[in-house]
Amino acid sequence: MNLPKRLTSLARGLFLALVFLFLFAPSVVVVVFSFNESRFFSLPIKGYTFDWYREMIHRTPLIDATKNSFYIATLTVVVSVGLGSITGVIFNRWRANRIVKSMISSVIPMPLLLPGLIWGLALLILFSRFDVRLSIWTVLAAHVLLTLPLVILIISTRLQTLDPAVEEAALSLGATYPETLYRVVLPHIAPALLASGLMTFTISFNEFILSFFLTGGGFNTLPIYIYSLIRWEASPIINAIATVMLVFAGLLVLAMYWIEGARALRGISRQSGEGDPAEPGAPSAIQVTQGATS
Amino acid sequence: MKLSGLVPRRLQGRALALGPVAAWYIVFFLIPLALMLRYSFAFTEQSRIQFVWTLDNYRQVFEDSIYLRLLVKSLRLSLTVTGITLLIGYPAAWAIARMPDRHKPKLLALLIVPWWASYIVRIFGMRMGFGNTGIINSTLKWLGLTDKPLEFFQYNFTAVALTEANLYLPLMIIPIYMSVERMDMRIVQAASSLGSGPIRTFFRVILPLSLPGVLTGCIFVFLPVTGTFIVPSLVGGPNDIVYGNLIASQFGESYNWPLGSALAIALLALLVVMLRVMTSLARWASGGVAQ
Amino acid sequence: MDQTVQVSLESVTKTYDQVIGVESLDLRVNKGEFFSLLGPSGCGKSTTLRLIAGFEQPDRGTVTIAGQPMQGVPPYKRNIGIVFQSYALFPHLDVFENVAFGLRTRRIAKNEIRTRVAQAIETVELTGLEKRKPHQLSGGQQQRVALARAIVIQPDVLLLDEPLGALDKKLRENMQVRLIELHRELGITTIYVTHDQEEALTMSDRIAVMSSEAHGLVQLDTPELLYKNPGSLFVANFIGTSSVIFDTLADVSSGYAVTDGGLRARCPQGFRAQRGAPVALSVRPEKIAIRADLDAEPEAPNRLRGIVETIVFLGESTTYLVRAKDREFRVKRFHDADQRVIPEGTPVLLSWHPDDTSIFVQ
Repeated sequence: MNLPKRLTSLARGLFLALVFLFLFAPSVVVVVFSFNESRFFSLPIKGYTFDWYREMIHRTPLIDATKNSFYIATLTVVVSVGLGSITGVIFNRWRANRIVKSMISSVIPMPLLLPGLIWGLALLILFSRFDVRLSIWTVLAAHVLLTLPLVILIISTRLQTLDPAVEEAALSLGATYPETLYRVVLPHIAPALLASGLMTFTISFNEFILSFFLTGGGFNTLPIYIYSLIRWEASPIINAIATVMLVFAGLLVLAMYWIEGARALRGISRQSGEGDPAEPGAPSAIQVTQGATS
Repeated sequence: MKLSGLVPRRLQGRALALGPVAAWYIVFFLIPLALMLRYSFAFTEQSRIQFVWTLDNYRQVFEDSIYLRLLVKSLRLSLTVTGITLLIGYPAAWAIARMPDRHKPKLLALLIVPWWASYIVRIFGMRMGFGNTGIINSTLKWLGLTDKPLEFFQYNFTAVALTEANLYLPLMIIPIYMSVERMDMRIVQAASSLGSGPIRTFFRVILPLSLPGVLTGCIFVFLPVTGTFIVPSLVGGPNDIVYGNLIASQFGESYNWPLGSALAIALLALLVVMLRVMTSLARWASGGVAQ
Repeated sequence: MDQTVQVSLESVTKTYDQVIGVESLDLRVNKGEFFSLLGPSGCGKSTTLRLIAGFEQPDRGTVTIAGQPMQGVPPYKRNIGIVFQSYALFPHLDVFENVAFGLRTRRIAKNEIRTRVAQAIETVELTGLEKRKPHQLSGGQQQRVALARAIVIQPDVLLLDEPLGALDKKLRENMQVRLIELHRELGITTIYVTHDQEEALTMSDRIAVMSSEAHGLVQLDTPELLYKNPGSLFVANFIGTSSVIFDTLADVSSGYAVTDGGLRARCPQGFRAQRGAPVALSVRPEKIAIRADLDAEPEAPNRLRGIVETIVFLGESTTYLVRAKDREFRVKRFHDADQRVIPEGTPVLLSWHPDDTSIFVQ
C-alpha cells in the first residue's frame, strides 16, 4: 500500500472513531458519574463510591416502575412476536394481488413513521374517551404496534432465504400445512424469532415517548420514572439506574448479534438494496431505526 | 369459476390469523387518529369538551402568531439537526462502506446499540454536559481555559440541536451507508479514468447515486425531530420550547385537548405533505440516475 | 410395456390472473413410462407439473392419478415424489432426515424407516454422507438427496422439474444415464419437465412437446418419431435443428408435394393444401449432402446452389453454414477418410431427398 492510501485509511479510521465517540459520549458520561462521590456533575472527579447503587436498590417506586417495564416488555414480546411471525409467514407466502399487497405493506410501517408525540396523544384520547385507566395494558397496546412492523420485517427477511419449493417439497412428502409450518418453516425462522424477541424486549423496555402519555396516576415505567427523577431530583442515582439499563441493553444487543446479528444485517442491507429505499410503502429495514427512538 | 375445497379453507385460515393484527391496527392506530381529528373540531368550555363542529381551533392555530412562530422554530430545529447529521453522517457512512467487509457488521451493530440504549438515558447524558456547571463548562474552568462559563455550552438552542443530532445520527448514517455500500466502485474508477477530478466525480457521480439514501436519512431525522418535545424541555433554556411542547402542554397544564388535537393534526398534515415531497424527490433522484 | 394409464389430464385449463397457464390440455401417461414435458419457458409445462402435484387446482377439467380423481385432494394426500429444480432440501435437516421426512409423515415404524432410508441413500450412491447438512454437499450430491427423498416413499408418480438444470454439462450427462438406469430398476412412472430437447430425446419413452402459443400440447410422440416426423414447424425447430425454406405450393401428386421453387417433399398423412398456398419445408442438417463439384450428378432430387459461409468444426463432424436462396442452411457432414473439408467461400451444391423433407402449411 502506498503512503497516500495509508494516510486516507488512517484519516477514515480516525474520523469514524470520533463519530462513535460522539455517539457514545453521553452513555460513557452517565456510567462514569454513577461512581462519583460528589452530587454534582463536574470534573475533576473527587472520589469513587457505590453509594448511589446502594441507594438505588432501596427505592420502592423504582422497583415498581422496573417491574412494570419488565412485565410490559415481556408481554410485548409474546404478543408482538406471536402476531408478527404469523403475519410475516402469511404475508410472505401470499400470492395475492400486487396492489392489495403493496397497500398492506405501506400500512404496516405507519406506526414507526408517525411521530410518537402525535400517535401517543391520539392513544391518550382513545383511552380517556372510553374511560380506560392508564396501566400496563395501555402501554402494551402501543408497544405491540410499535414493534410489530420490526418483527414482521425480520421474519420476512429470514423467510426470503427459504426456497418456497422447500415447503412444497414437504407437502409433496405427505406433510399437512400445519406439519409443514411446524417441521420446516418454524425451525428455519427460529433464530429470527429469538432475535426479534430480544429486540422487541429492548425497545419496549426503553421506550419513552408513547409511555410518557400512556402512564400516570401513580403508574410508571422505568424510563418515565427516570424522567421524573431528572425533573425533580437530579442526583447520581439516575446514573446508577441508567448504568444498569445500559449494561442490560448492551447484553441484549450482544445476544442478538450472536444469534442473528450478522445475518440480519446482511439481510437488511440486501433487502434495501432491492427497490427504492426511500419508498415509504416498503417496510424497509431503515424504518427499524425509527422504532427504537420514538 | 369452480373453486376447489382447498382454496377457501386456506383463505379462512388466513383471515383468522390476520384478524388480530388488523384489529390492532384499526383499534390502536386508525381509530385514535380519527378521534383526534374529531376532537380538533370540538371546543373546550370550562374544562368540558363540547362536541360541536367548529373550525375555531384551526383558526386559532393560523391566526395566533405564537403557534406559527413555534412551528417555524421547530422546523428550524429540524433543519439544523438534519444538516448536522448529514454533514457528519455522509462521510461516516462512506467511511464504514470502505471498511473491510468483516468489520462492517460490527460497526453497524455499534450504530444500533446507541439507539437501543434508552432514549431518556442518552438525553440525560447530554444534559449532564451542558449548563453553567455542566461537564463541559466545569472542565474548561478546571483546565484554566476559561474563568467563567461559556454561553455556548449553556442550556440553549445549540444544546437542543446537538442532543437531537446525537440521538438521530444513526438514522442518517444507516440509509446512506446502504446506498453507498451497494454502489459499484468501478463507476467511480471509470469516472476518474475519463479525466474527472475527485470533486467533479463526487458531485457528478457519487452524490447523485447516493441521493436516495441521503433523502431517506433526511426523512428519518427530520420527521421525529419536528415532533420533539422532551429534549427542549430537558436541555433547552426557557425560551427554547418548540411546537411539540405546545401540543403536549394542551394535553397537560393548559388542558385544551381540542386545541392540542388541532395543533397535532396541523403538524401531521404538514409532515405528510413534506414526506410526499421528499419521497417523490427521492424517487425522482433514483429514477433520474442511470441504473 | 404395461399400458395402464397412471396419470391422466382431461381438458385441463388453468389461468392465473388472466394469464393462461394451460388450456384444455389432454395427457395420458402410462404406468411405468418415462414421460417428458418439453417446451420453452412459458409453455405451461411447469403449470402442468404443479397441477399433477396438487399445488394448483385446475379451473376446469380433471386430473387423475392411479385411477383416483384428484379434485380437491391436497398435495400431501397424493402419493407423489417431486424433485425440484432448486432441489428444495430441508436446510436444517441432515441427509438422513431429509430422506426420512416423507416416511416420518407417513408414521412408518422407526426400524423400517432406517432400512428404507439406507437403501434409498445407497441407490443414489450417497452412503456415508448421512450426517451431512445440505449446505455441506455439492450440487450433484444435493440433487441425489432430493432424488432419494422422492423415491423412498415409493410414489405413484415421480415428478422431475428440470432437475439437472443447475448441474454442469459433464455431471448432467452422468445423471441422465443414472436416471434412466434408476427408472428401469424401480419402474416408477416418471414425468420429466425440461426445456432441453436433447435431454428429453435421450431419456424419454414419449415426449409431449408444448408451446407457449398453444398453452399446451403441440405433439406427443416417441423421440424417434418426433425427430423424423415433426408435426409442425415449431416442433421441427424445437427438436434438433432444421434448415427451413419458405415457398409456395405448386402441385401435389402421388404423395409428394412440389413447390414453385421445384423442391419436393413427402406429404404427411392428411396433408391438405390449395395450390399457391404458402408452405415451409424443413430438413435436418445431416440429411443434406454437400458437394464442391457443381457439375456432378446430385445424390437426391432436391438441389440448391449456395456458397459456404462458415465452417464449424465439431470433432466427429463438421457443420457448414451455407447461404443459398438468401437463406442459411445448416449442413452436417461426418468425417470420412477420403473427404476433405470444403473451404469457406466455395460454391457448393446442396441436395437432399424428398423423403427427408417435412412440409408444413403456413
